[in-house]
Amino acid sequence: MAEDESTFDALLSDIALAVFLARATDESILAEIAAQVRELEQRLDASHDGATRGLVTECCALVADITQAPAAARPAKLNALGVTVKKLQAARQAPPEPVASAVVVRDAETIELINDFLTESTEAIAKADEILMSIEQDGLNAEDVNALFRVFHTIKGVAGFLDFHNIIALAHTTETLLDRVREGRIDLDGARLERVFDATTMMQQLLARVRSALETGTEIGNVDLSALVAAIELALGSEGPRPAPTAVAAPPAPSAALGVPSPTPAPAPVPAPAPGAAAPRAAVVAPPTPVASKEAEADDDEPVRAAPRDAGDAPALRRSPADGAGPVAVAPRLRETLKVDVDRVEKFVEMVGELIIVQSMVVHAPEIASLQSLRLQGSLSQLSKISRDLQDVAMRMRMVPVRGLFKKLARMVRELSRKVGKDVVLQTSGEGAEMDRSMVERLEEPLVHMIRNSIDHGIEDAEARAKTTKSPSATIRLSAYHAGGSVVVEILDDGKGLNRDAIIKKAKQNGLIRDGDVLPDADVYNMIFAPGFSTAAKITEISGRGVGMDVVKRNIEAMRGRVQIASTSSQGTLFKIVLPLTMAIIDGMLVACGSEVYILPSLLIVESFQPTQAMLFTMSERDELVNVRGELLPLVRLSRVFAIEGAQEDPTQALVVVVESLGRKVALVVDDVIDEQQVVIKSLDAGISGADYFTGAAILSDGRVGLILNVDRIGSMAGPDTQAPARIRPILEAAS
Amino acid sequence: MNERTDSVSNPQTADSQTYAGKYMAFKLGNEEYGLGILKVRELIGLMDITRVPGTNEFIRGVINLRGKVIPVVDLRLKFGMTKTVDTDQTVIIVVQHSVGAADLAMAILVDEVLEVLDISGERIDPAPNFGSQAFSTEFILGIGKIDKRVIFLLDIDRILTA
Repeated sequence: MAEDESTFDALLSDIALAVFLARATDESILAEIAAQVRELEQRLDASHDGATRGLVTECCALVADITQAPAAARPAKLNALGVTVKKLQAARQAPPEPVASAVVVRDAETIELINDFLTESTEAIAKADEILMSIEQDGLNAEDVNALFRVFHTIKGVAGFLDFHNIIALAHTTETLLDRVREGRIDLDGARLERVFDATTMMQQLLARVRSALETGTEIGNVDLSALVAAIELALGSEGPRPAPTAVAAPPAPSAALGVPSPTPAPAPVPAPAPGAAAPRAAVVAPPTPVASKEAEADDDEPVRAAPRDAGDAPALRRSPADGAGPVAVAPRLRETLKVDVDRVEKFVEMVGELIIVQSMVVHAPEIASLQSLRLQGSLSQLSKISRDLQDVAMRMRMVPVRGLFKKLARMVRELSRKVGKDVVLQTSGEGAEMDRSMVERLEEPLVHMIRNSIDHGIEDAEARAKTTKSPSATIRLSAYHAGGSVVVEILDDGKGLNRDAIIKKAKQNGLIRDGDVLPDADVYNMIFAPGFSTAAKITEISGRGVGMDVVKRNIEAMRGRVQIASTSSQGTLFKIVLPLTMAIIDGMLVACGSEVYILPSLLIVESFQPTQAMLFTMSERDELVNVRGELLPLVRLSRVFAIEGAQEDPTQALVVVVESLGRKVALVVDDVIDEQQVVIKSLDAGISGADYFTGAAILSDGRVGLILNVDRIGSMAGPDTQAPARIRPILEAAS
Repeated sequence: MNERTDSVSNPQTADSQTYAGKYMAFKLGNEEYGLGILKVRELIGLMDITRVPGTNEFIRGVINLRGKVIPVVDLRLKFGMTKTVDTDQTVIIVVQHSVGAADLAMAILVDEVLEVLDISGERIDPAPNFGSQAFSTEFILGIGKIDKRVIFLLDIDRILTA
């Protein structure tokens, strides 16, 4: 029975798509549609309600009509068929029931939050569609499923504290499906893939609803998702779905609720989830460029918009505020921002950077210096000044304070703590710290995840907290500050701390470590960043699926940053995110080794000197140390790490550059320091794997490519036991 | 509506006609290879290649192609042959490498570029089976036969992805 139903629906989606794509002159397609409609008719049985049967019959009549009509009359008739098919789809997915109206009071801050949520989620869903299409074309891979999962997970999270029940319900169900796929328990095959497509389409509609409700100042209302949710749960297989959150049980609304629930009497039947299957499928046929799929969707909207018009003077689905009356007058004005493509800004900054390099090449060219023209020198220094100013402007264009982000998070903590029934206060400091704009944006998701984790898992519930000496009100401290060449963002909670034993146990279950492995705390804590890793006993609406933390790590690493964890049992947990100031340009020190040249980020350099023999020590004739004014540092020879030939073998003839990374110092041996210059960072990952000794590449002033050293990675060459020098020091001091 | 599933064709079983077209012929040692002309972006003479320590041996390094950093694959090493000895005949071929929907510029290092050949379908044999030890077949679209020459037609996307 259920199978029949889904076949029926699948057939219906096929017809909807065929009608959408068909050209009226194409006899063979028309014949195909006719055949499909006949099949639909045959599949009708007693279980279908009157409305469905009526509409199917209507379809049959329309199809017969089209095939007999003269060519000129066909497009209109085809359109009519499209409308009827959509009505039919709508009828099948939304049983009519009374509208539930919840009046939502929104202040300016909430509106801003919702607006951000809408922008971000719309983008995320568009991305999900893209991924789905690539899965459909190129098959499944784990990365894609993870990415899809994260889209729904993030939407669910944010929607959670904004109380969008429909969106939470849909995201939760879809997430559950994807989670199963991720765990390898089910395949994302045809039907299930289709359901995920349906989910993204529905999600787009839900987001559009929220947007329109926000713009017109009306309440959002509910959409009955039970059909779609049931379809997805059906696709989950026999394992039985996890209980979806309350929202599914929330008062369902008729299909009309998809339109803006406005005070207008007699709401017209706007087809609810009509474009369900059609939109994404249409986009598959079109080339998978975002533009093309957008067009496909835009076209697909046509019949939808046509429907209310047919039905009379119903409120249009997307009425612009300008021509709307009544509610618009009280509608709050939305913050309008011009969202410039990050690529474009980055390209601009990159080109400014290149301009600086060329400018410096020209100004310092010996030919020009030999001209000894005062006028030329004057112009050149003018050029230098303007170039530098331009660079300054370009850089500042991208820097914004983290204040906005912090405010948003404070708000989230407030809502979330209320929701989970824990008394949590967010204290913030360093809101004025500036960082690259794109980084602030990209930092939000990781911070949301981390704070949500802290509230949900880190902070004890009131009962457990009462048993400790801690104040009943928990505190999360969020701070930002500049340190060296980096921006540091810290989240410190006073919760119960990470449970080391639970992490180890779970890691063993997941096969991340074996019995008998002895790991330092940092390594243990880092395991919480593994995809799918969660020690939470139960999965809540807020967190616990173990997705968040791998998103956190991935996002931070994508910004060339890193995250460190410190935790003390029953005292709390500290997450420290260290990020570069900007992602585009760095001051680099060019160092030579043999015939090769590498770039060291200047900000990481502490000092450089030529060591004397008395400063050098070896341990077990292998590990080398250098004594810098009583501080023993591990010596790393770049020539050995990189197997460079022809490099200086004797350190007393070479140069030691002390670099600092992750709070520890390493002495790097190079042949010489050549020059300092600003370099534009270019990504190295495209097409090269395993280049983790480098954070990127840059074009040097002689046109060659220089590689930017990853000091963290090279620092770790000094061996995991960097505590060794500290243990040796007393011996040395005693000896001297 | 079923074209989605049909469009996935298997290079092993597809008609050799599929691969008819223009190929850029080049040499690795005494062997001749062909690269679909549409995959070739440009040819450049040997230039400074910056070694990238820690990567695969067949990655010779990276070059600066008008401000873009592009990896260079030593095709001889990739094929398990000896390392390319640079001569004045050595050429860097910049190819359009498709990764999913994205196009990526990558470069390959070859001993010598010969000419552009138009190879018709009946002159293309399917890739032979060299037995289990051979990796070659999966990188080869087919074998072109022109006069007495044998030209291995490369599936460059597969080679660069593998």
